[in-house]
Amino acid sequence: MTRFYKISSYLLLSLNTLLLFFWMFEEQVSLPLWISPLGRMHPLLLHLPIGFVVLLVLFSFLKNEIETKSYELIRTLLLTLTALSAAIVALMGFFLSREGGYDERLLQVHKFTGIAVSLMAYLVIIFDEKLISKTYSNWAILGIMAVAGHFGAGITHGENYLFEAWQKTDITPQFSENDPMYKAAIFPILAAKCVACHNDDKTKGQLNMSSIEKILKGGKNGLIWKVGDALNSHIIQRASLPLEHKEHMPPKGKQQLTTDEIDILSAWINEGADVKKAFKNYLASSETKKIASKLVGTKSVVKEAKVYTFSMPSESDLAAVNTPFCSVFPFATGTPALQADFFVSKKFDRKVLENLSKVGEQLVILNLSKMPLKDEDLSLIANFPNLEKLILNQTDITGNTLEQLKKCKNLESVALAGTKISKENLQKILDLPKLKEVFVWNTDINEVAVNELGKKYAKIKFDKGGIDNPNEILQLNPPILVNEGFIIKTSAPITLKHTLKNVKIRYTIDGSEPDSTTVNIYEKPIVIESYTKFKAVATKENWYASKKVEYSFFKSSYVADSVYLLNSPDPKHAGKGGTTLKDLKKGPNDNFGDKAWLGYREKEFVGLFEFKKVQPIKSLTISYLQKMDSFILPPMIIEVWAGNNKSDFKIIQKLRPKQPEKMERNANLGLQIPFSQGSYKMIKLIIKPVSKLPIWHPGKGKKGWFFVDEVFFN
Amino acid sequence: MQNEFFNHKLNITRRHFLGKAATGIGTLGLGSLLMPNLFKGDGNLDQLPLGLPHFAPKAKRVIYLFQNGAPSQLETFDYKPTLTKMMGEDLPASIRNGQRLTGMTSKQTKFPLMGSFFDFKQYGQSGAWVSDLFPNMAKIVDDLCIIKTMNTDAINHDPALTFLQTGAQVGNRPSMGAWASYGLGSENKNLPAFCVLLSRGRGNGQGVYSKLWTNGFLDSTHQGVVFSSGEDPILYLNDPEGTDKIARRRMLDKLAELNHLGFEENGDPEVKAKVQQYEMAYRMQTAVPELTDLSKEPDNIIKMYGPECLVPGTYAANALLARKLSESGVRFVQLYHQGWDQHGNLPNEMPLQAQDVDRASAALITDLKQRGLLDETLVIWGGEFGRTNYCQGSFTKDNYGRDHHPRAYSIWMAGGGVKPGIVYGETDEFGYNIVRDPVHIHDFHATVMHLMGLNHEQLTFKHLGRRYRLTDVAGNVISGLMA
Repeated sequence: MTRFYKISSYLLLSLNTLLLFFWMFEEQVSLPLWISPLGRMHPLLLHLPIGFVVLLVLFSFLKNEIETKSYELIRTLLLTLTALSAAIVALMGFFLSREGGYDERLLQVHKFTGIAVSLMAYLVIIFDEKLISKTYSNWAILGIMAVAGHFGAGITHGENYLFEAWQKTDITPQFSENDPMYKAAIFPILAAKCVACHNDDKTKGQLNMSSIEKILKGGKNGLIWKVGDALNSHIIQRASLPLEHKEHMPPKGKQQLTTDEIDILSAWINEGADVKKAFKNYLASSETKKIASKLVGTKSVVKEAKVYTFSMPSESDLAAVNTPFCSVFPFATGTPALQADFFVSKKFDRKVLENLSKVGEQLVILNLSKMPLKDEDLSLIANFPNLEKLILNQTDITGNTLEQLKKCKNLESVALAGTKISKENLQKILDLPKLKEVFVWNTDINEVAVNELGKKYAKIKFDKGGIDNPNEILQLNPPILVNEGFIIKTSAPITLKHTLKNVKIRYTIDGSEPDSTTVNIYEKPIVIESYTKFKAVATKENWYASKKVEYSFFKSSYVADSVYLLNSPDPKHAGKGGTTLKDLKKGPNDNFGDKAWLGYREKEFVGLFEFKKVQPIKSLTISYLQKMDSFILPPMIIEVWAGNNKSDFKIIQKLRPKQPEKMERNANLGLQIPFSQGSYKMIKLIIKPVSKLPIWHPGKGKKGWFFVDEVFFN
Repeated sequence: MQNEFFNHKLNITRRHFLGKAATGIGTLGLGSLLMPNLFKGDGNLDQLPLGLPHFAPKAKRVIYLFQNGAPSQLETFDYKPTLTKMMGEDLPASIRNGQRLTGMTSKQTKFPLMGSFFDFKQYGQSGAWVSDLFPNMAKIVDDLCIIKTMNTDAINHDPALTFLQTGAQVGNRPSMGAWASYGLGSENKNLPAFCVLLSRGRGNGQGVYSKLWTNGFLDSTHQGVVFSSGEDPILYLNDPEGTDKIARRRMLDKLAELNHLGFEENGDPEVKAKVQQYEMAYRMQTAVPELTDLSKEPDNIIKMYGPECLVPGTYAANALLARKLSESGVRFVQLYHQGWDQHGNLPNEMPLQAQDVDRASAALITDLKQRGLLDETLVIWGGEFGRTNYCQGSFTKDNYGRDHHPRAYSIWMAGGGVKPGIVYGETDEFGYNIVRDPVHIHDFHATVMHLMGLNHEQLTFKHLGRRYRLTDVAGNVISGLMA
């Protein structure tokens, strides 16, 4: 232990001497690079002497509890450790201070007190025997240590760090759009990054940036910005220099400007460096505003929401004016201003509108569009003095009483689209002091009149709406079929419609192609007698004719009571057996796998249709599928046999349907087979699929398919 | 020994007790100084009243024209001539920068850059670039706010769609429209606050599912109501044959009484929701026929939207219906147009898709504007993510496809407090990464809610012990988008 005290007494002497020496000749000292890490350990190790001195003070409370010898031993040890660590840390601090970038004033105080701590501890050790009170000396070291520590912390955390929370009341500054851009976005940057060194107390480079007047006085190098020329402005130049550069601002070690901050300063200088120009007066395209909006954020930019000074509507009034067909509600939480919307014209009730006078003072927006509002009802609206926006689109008003609205002095926007308003009547309200926009789309006020009004009332925006280009001709949409199915029983007619007015639907039922010259014009539902290929187009003046629609309608007068398939269909396409053909369910064109279809390939179709009663049948229609890419073609040979019992069939018709000559589109077609009328109870149908696909077909030579979903008798 | 401990505890006197209690209470008091909310208990103190905007809204209603399947930004609004110049060259790894790939292109060894098959021109005062696919949208470009820097977390359709609609990639959270309905309530009590309209284009399509318009954990009155594309847009709304209005009214009254009994017994809030929905359906019987009646629309409106708008179930018809619904006070109208998933055959499919939507989308803006409604209606047009700047599979000059790309894509918004005639944000010259002003889906949600007068951080719903919001724990309002 003696050895320790011996070494430490020497060490203390030398360290403190060194300290004093450095302090005196500070400016001449130049430090080698390797010492820099030592300096940077200062913030870490400085906690050691603090710890020791605190321990020392606490330990002195035990003075009377411990035998004197032990007490002295421990105290000496603690004191020595305090002095040693304080000296080392002070030296390190000195090294660190040479790196620069610290607040000079704080640094000086810290340096002085830091050295004082070290010296004090050393002196206490030396003059230990002669001290009046050893306890007081402990306290003295702690006291100086506290002062040194406080200023040290000030350097790293900022001067106000400790008491900041007490001083600040307004944490996020709020800006309104009416404030100058300078106040909202520029000065806060300068205040945060520059004013610490350029203020009333400390004017580095003779520049004081604590207020705009002082900034405009400039510093020793003149003004810090050149209006309209950011690149040649000192502030931007200095900030753009490399960090190592002597003239770089803010100096190394201080908080630096961010890229966004440099950008906004440049943009603001380039855009005139106007100190008074309000935030809202910057164009949306302005670079300054763009960055400012980002930097300041929406939280602190308060949009100047309109303040309404009239009283809040009472809960009971609000409840009384609300009906299922009239919604009255405040704009937002805590605003007295109300909006009222009317819905469902059939349920419009004049009394509800009258009733709104209960909240007449608070009503600011009123929407009556599409309501059967009459001219005389406008007198009710005139009772709403604070009305700003009135929507009367597609109401029945003519404008004859529009002067009533002159009482609504606060009107800013009136929508009259689709009404019978005339230019003369509209002019009655155009002198309203606050009127800003008028909507006259789809009225008799034509473009010429709108332009005229626009010139006369320059502050009002007249909206004529989307203007129809008469040279643009579009194609109509096709007529819409109302019938749900394509099987016509007894006398149900074919019904079509088109939702556009004055459209002519032209149709054919003879298979010919309809166009805009076709004479058959659809006027009432069409009754058909047998299988019909129906084609139609929609036509209208100034429109191109629609695409053609094409439907096959199957007439079904008699339905067989039972159907027997004497040759079973392909097992994959067996449908629901014989009933498939009489259930009046059409198969879908795009899915021949559906249960509504029967498919034949290897065998021919042989079906027996049985009627319980003798029926006067003169034709039958086979509804078949044509889907050539799947080898499904019309049948090749059809034989119709008829009779009244199974043993007495005779052939009544045999035909070879016309075969297609090229690939044709997919369709569900009908093949109507007339025969001499007779009264039959049974009809047998033999249908042969195509045995060899023709040479133009991709599957030439192979067997074709025959698909049938219904057979109709008439 | 045990006994003594026991007795000791009993030996605590009144003074001991009060003394110790004072220390305890003092400590609590000290602690409470530092925690001002400690003794306030659990209450929804920060919850603002429902059914009203938190502050004055810019947009009272939203129409979301959802382009389902993700239209390519590179053939719509993000003009990148570099891609045409470098056609066929490999995407530099420094640009791709570790972006994950979908299963469809992960086996691809080369990523050949692909320029747009369609030309671009600049339009309007804003000089925004719009591709030749959208001649009508180009005409109204000064009313649009084009955002080129949307970005999302998901790379496949379903999670991306779900994320965009509900703020989370897994299902079961409430959709944007449901939140709007929850926060703002219904403006027109005769119609649902959240309506959904579906249409299908001719391009390669992706599904839409009811989870996209779900109410999630919110009350089921906030669920989106799907309109059918048939003659009757709302199914089962007509009274059955032989039932008259009076009988229906009496039936509903009796049913409500019974339901009320049920509610008193089990307290299930869904019972009340059901009664409310029956009542609304009853009123809808008068409101809906008026809504779907096109006969009062003048001819030039039909021409504006295109004659397709007369065919129920088309995009144009839905756009027109959306205008009518919105005009009638429906808070949130959500359209989905399927068919924008061009992994291949893009030059042939995109024109068909564009034909479906271009005219009607532009007409919707003009139509709202001429009625004085655009300033209070927010219209949004866009898909769930973007498409890659390289070709999926092999390509020829006039046929190629693009894979999914979440890092940057374009949408537009219009009306309702959005800054008109601007192009927001910028992507790099490859159209792959965002260079400036990104808008993440959470930011988009926060901004849309802000425009509707809702603070996205304050509109919450407590479910399974946690307060949920549309933006989860993220999202910033993008002030640069707002007028």
